[in-house]
Amino acid sequence: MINIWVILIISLLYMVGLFLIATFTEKRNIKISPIVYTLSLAVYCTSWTFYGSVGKAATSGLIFLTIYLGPTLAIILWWIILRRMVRIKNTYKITSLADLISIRYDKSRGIAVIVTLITFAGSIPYFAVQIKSILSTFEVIAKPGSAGSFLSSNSFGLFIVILLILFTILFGVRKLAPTEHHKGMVMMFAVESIVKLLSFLAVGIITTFVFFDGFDQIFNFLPQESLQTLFRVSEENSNPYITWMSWLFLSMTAIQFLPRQFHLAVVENEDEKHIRTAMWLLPLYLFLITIFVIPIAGAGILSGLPIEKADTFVLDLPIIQNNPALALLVFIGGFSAATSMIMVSTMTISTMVSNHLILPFTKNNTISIIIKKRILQVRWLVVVLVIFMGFFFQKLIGDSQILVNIGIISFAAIAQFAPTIIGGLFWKRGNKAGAYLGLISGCLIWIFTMVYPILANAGWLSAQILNNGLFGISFLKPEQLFGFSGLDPISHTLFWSMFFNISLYFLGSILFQQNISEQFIAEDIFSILTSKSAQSLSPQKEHFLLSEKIRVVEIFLNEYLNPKETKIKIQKCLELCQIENKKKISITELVEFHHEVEKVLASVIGAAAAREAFQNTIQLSNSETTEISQVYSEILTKLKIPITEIKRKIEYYQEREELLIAHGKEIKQKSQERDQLLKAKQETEQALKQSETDFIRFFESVPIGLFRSTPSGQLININETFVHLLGYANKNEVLQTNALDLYVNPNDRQKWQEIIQNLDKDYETIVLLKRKDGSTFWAELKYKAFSNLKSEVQFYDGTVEDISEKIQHDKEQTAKFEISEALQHSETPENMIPVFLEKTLKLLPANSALMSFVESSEIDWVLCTENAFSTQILTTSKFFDLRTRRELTNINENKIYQRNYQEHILFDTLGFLDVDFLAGIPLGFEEGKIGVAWIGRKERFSEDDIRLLGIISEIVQSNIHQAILHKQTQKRLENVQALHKIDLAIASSLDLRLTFDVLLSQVIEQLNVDAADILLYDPSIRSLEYAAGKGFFSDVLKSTFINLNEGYAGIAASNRNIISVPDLREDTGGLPRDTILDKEHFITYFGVPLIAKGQVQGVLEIFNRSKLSPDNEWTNYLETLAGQAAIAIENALLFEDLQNTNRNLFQAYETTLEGWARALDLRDKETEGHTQRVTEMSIKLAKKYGVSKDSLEHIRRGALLHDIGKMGIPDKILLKPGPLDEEEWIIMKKHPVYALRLLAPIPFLENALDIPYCHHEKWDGTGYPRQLEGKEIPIAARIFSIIDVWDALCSNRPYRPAWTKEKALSYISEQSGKHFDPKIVQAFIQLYPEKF
Amino acid sequence: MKKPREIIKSPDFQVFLFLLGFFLFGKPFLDMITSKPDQSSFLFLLLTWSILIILLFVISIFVGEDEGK
Repeated sequence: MINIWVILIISLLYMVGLFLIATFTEKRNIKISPIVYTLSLAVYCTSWTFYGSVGKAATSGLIFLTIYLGPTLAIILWWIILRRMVRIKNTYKITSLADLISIRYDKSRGIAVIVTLITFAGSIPYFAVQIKSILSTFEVIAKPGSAGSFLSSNSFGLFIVILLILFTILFGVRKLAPTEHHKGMVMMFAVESIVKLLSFLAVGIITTFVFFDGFDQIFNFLPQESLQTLFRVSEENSNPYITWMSWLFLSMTAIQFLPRQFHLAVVENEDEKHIRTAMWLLPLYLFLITIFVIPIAGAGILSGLPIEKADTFVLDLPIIQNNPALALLVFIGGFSAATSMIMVSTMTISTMVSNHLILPFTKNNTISIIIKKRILQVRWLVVVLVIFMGFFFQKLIGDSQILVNIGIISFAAIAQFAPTIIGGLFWKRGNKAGAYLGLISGCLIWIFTMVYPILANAGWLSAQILNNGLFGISFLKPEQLFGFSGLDPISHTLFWSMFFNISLYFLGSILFQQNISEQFIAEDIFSILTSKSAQSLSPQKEHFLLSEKIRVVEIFLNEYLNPKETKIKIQKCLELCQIENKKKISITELVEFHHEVEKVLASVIGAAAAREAFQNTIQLSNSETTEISQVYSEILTKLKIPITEIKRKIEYYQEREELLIAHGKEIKQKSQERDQLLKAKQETEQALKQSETDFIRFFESVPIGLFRSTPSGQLININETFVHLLGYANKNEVLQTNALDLYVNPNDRQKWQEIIQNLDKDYETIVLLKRKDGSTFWAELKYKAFSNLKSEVQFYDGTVEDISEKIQHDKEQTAKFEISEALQHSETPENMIPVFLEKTLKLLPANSALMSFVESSEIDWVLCTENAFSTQILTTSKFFDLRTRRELTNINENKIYQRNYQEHILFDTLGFLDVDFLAGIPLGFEEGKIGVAWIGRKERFSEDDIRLLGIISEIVQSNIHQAILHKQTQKRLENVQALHKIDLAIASSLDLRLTFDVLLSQVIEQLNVDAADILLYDPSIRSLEYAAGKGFFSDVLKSTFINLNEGYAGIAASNRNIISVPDLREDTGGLPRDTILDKEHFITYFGVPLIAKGQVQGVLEIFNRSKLSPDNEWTNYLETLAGQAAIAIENALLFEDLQNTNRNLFQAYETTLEGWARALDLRDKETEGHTQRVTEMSIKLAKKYGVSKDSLEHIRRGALLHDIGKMGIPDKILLKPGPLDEEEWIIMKKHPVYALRLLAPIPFLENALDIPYCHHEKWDGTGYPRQLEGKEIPIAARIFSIIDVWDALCSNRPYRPAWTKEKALSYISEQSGKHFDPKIVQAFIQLYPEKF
Repeated sequence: MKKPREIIKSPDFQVFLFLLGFFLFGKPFLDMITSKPDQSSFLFLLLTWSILIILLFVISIFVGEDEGK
């Protein structure tokens, strides 16, 4: 037995020593070696192992080995499982087992809570065991009463607890970030493991080889029963197979999934290569720590130690062998096992509890804020709580048998994590639902079938359910669930919990779908081992020949670029990749090179096309692909980014990519829109520019001057036209000029000032502007004022247009109008000139005007002068002498004279005294010049004035011309009228005297002469004889008889020419009538031969008592009149001849007819004198009856020829003495027809045929030859038939004597209405007494 | 044919070894080789365990050697 103080001091020193080691490790940042890492994992061997293994071996045989064999089997797969978890830890920065499971299943907080609760629940009893072992071994080793009452078991327990709390916090919970490696703690655990192993080996070796003589002695001396007990593999009352396998399975899961094991193996792993050492060293450690379990157990039994206290054989044996040092070493070893387990477990549980139970449930309140700020302290509190709970739990259970199996119970609890973890690591479909179902079901089964029975058996809970089953259903008894019996409790629990756990995990994972993030994590975890685990990027081997790669790229780029460009681009790519001087490159450099080349191509054909072309052409080989994949994996691993972070980042980048794509599309769209806008803007700008250019061009070239000026008239801007209008060289010259200075008229400047004062906004005016050279022009100015906000005119924009031409045009038009209107009332040229001069003075204006006419004009000049009061017009003839007149009219074009420069006769004469300039404007037309108009004034004549004068003169000329033409036309009309009268006279009368009278009257009137006569030519005596005369004072000329070639008339007739004697007074040449004519006082004489058809008919003589100046027209008219006279004479003579001829012809006809009548009478002797009588009587009766006078001649001729047809009757019939027979009558009755045939061809007798042809027709239609009836018979025949019958009856015939007139008259009356027309008979009867 | 080195470091071999160990450490196998509880089963277990440790040592040498390069 050892003094308590010694134990305490040594224990304290041991702990301080551990603290110093830990501190030293952390201070020096000593790298955790694989061996240290492995030894730290030996924390698996707790006091329960340290002490309990021997106890278990002593009571149950080799079953304890499963606690170490299981881990060994599990460790075989550590390169697959543990490494994967380490990678997950590195990737996701996990801090605990709960973290691992939670992250795998979509970061499920619920799962983390469940895991934490299970761990917490399973760990508290385990802590209790550890504390119990310390206290128990302390009681064993400590000498009772050595420390007094103060250091009782309870006090020592509290001391140990406080010590554990202190060291746990100091070693394990000093840092806030649980992911940070606790190198000091790991080192401490490694040291403890060594101490633990060494102490156990020491006791084993000493016991075996010191206390006993080796293994043989122990095993040989052991009773067979004990020996069988030691070497059996299970307890007697249980199924050994199931128990063995169950324990083996539980220890397999425990070595990996116990929180402390997970923490040290995974969280504290600095390098996954350490796993490789742990894979063999940890099994070796376990092997060594268990190799003396059986010997020690056998030695304890041999030493007579009670089997019930086999758990302390390790400590009891040194004690009974009185080897306190070894006992103390064993105690320290056990102490190390217990404290290391408690510290690391407490640390992990505190992390899990704070992270998964406390922090998640403290939200948005004051406590949560405090907790979040005091997380480390919260963990300390959890440490305190957990350790104290363990302490009080061991106090509660005391010496209960429960403690013996408490470790394996915890193992069973931890085993519930196995399906979830293993499934999560290796089955991608394992999901959160399955994890929930598996964990919860497994946990419940564990509680129901293991925890509850223990507590019930211990008497802490009712055993009713244990005995009768849940709800009284025996089928649901905890220890015989579903009637399943024959298994030890551990195996029973393990079987059902695993059955439900695995089944429901599988079913849950099958039936429910993973979400996307869970799938991603599963996929990531599933493939996490395929990536390289290097902590840093390995140096990459440069084994790709750069020239070969360049060649491939060159061929590729040559398809798109010319070779020269390709080489340049490739060189740039090499420089960008900084490999231009290398011969061989690594895979990453190759990829970078390809990337740059692709970018080059993208700049040519676009990114998408470049990507496609690149992928189709430049492809990495399989080895290259593998290599680059490894590089990427290495990079990812190096980054040590948790998979969630990667996922988050991937999602982030995916979302970002999507956003970027969307944003890119949006940008592209906006870019397109911007491009369109830009294009539109460019177009607009271009249009604006063009518009501006057009505007400037327009501004500069518009034929109107544009300007902007200040209200004071200062020009701000002008265009070129403005400059040209004002005759300046450039704009600057004009801009230096005030606009007001350009005004000629001061009134216009004044007007401008008024405009400004009145703030007129718009204004138009016409002003006279002055050019640079002093010339002026009329300009139309249009202003538009622009004001500021204060309504103050800032500037004026305006236009200037040269309207001089318009003004001049208007002036000309006005002049035209006024002069035309004025001249309209002047019918004669004489009247027009004064008007013309007067208007000219006003229109120009001018002071004096003079019209000088040509010599032939009757007037000399017309002077028009104007003063302030009136216009004076003076018309004078024969004022100038001939020389002056000729000088004034001797210009043929407009001419300007200036006083003192060009001398002119008009200066200082007439009304031109006060003029300095003289303009001569010749007036005339085709027929000749009229004269020259002279205009004088003080001012110089401008071109416009000259032009205006020209226009005025043209109008005047035109009007004068028209007036002259009008006058001539009137004269000609009068002539024509005169000729018409003469023609009428000739046509209406064949009396030459009358014709000559008309002719002479017209001659005198139209030719405006005093007298005229006509002398007729008698060719028979070749002399001219007076025929008619007019205008003479006496009749002496009537006796004129002139021989041909005598006198003017004779010469004219003889020569057939007009003889003109302008002044008879000056001519003394042999006119026979001189003496006569002297009395008439004739001065001018014209003798015109009258010739018709080449024959001289006479001479027309014209006399005028004044001198005549006949023009051609007068002369022509004279000849015309002479011609008319000749025609009249000829007509008269011809008519006279015709009358004579007709008369003779008629006489011949009549004589012939009468001859024919007498011849008929002579042939028909009985009718001698008959024709003459009936002719006369017929005329009388016809007259009586009222026949027209014209028809009487035809009746006379018809009566004379009434029997002309008898010339065709043979004499034998005509002259037959007796009555005619019928045939003879037929022939006789044909004589009217013979008459028709004989006379019809003679037109002269055409109207006389009625009697010869019809005088034998009767009123009643019984006559012959055509049996005409009534009035069908021509009246001449009806008249003649009565006379013919009357004369026949009253004449003697050979066959009868003549009837008396009464009888004949009676017969005639009787035949009225039968043979004769009753009305004519009536007329005959009335006529009878007088005529017959 | 793969080299022994490649076989040893392959995960398949580790799984095989695990199954083999599970079989060798299994109670049925123990019963099969030891009809009654005695030292032989214990020795068998120790021997097998030792062999496994040696194999694990060999495996630890080869696994991850590529990643270390």
